[in-house]
Amino acid sequence: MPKNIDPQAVRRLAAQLRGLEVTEERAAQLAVEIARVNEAARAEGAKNDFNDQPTNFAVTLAVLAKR
Amino acid sequence: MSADLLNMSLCEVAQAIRRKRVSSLEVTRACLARAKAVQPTVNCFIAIEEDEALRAARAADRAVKRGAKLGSLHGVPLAHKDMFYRAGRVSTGGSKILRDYRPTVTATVVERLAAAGAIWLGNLNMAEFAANPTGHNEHWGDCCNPWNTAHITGGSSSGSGAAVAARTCYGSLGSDTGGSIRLPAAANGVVGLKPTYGRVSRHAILPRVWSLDTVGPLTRTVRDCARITAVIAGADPLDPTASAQPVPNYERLLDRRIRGWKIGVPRNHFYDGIAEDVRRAMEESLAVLRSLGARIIELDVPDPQHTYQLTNAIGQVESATIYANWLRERPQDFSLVVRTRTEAGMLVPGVSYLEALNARPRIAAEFVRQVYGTVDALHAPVMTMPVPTRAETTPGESGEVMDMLARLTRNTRPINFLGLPSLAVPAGFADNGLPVAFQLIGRPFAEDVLLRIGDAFQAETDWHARAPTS
Repeated sequence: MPKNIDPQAVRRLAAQLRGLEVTEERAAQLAVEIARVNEAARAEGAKNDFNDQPTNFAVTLAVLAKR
Repeated sequence: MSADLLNMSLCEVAQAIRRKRVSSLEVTRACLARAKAVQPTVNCFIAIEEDEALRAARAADRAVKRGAKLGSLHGVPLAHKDMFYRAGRVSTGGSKILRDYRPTVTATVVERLAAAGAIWLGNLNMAEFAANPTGHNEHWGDCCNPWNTAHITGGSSSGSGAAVAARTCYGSLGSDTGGSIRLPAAANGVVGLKPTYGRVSRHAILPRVWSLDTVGPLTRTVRDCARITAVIAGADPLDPTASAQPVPNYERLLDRRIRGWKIGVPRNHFYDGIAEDVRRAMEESLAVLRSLGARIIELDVPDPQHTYQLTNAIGQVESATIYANWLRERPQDFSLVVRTRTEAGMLVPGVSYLEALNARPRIAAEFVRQVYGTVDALHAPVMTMPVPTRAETTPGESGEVMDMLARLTRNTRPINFLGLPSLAVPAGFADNGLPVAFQLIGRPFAEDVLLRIGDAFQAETDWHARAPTS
């Protein structure tokens, strides 16, 4: 899994997927930011179970409330 | 008389109105006069609703006179972050884009405050779209710290922290997605409660990040905070994320007995890079809690730093979804900070976003089991630095934004990811004369534990009673 993202790809994707104009300088910053976020999520995702789902969070809080 | 009135706590003034020692009209007039006096320097209001507030105060007094059943906030002037919808009334979200936005629905928390008898004094300044932890606002003007207007108020509930500290009102609702109640509470020397995720309804409030947003009060005393929390908390059929967990009578539980309670001090993360004067305030506050019989226990906590990027994954994608159309059609109407924080979310893969969300229950469970198996609450600084100046926290370009956000919110954002309640309590002043605060972090739905500790602390200290002179 590549950690670095090509800023030019960020510019293209921003324009083609979302219709956003991004400068070269900003694309370089976004590439770093997206890579960081993506890498952290991927690393945690590797520990997730296939039965996990986002709505489990509310249930977990209720269970953890018990004292 | 006016100064005496304004220095009363919310609970004190509510009792005075109920016992006819003072009228709601007198109190509301005093608040309005104070609000107008500080507005030119502090800029904590976006709109002051003088005529309506006075009309409501007169109605409240008539209810007292005729012996009507009175709510726990009867006749008390409050003002709120400009993001709690009232049908047909402008709610700007601190933005240029929503300058004339009139929602068609009313927030459940607004309905509940009104049912308890509170007076709506006005709409408070806030960071644009609740997305900046400093209090800067290029559309409505920066909200300035009443202790020293060169300094930030903290945000995004900037006006809430400043207005309560400046004695323009007795309490305020704010919202907290990454620290937005606790930071302005800390920076202005007032109390702020970020409740457990789902403790308070978010129906008809401006969304920032659905999975992280919470609503809570900023007040001058912990007891005041307990009172407002009891009014606004609880299930809401209009908000499926609002929990059906029973709401205790928080105020009745404030018995100031914390002997034998175990308060944890994290060895890792929360004190990294802390300024010496802030550390001193933390140690002094722990000494007070120890003198009350609490056991102070140092412990290692699961590293919250690794949740930071996961919080970004969730926050960026959800806020990008909320603002997608405006980002494409009118990007120039966003401030640099909001645009910078949001753009990346357009390009984060959906799988990464959901991986971050799915990791949350596991990480929260690990944290709760490791920490609250040992202690009743964690004690940590809200900010590790003294409150900075507005100039020091004005980012010049996009690259600086994320660094500034990370510095200010490193001790608050992880708590939103974990969904835990956290109470910010004034703990003295830094060498620059600005307030310092600790936060008490509890297990889910343990707001009562935090409020009890905070109230016991305030019974022994007077930091919360000090008022700025601005």
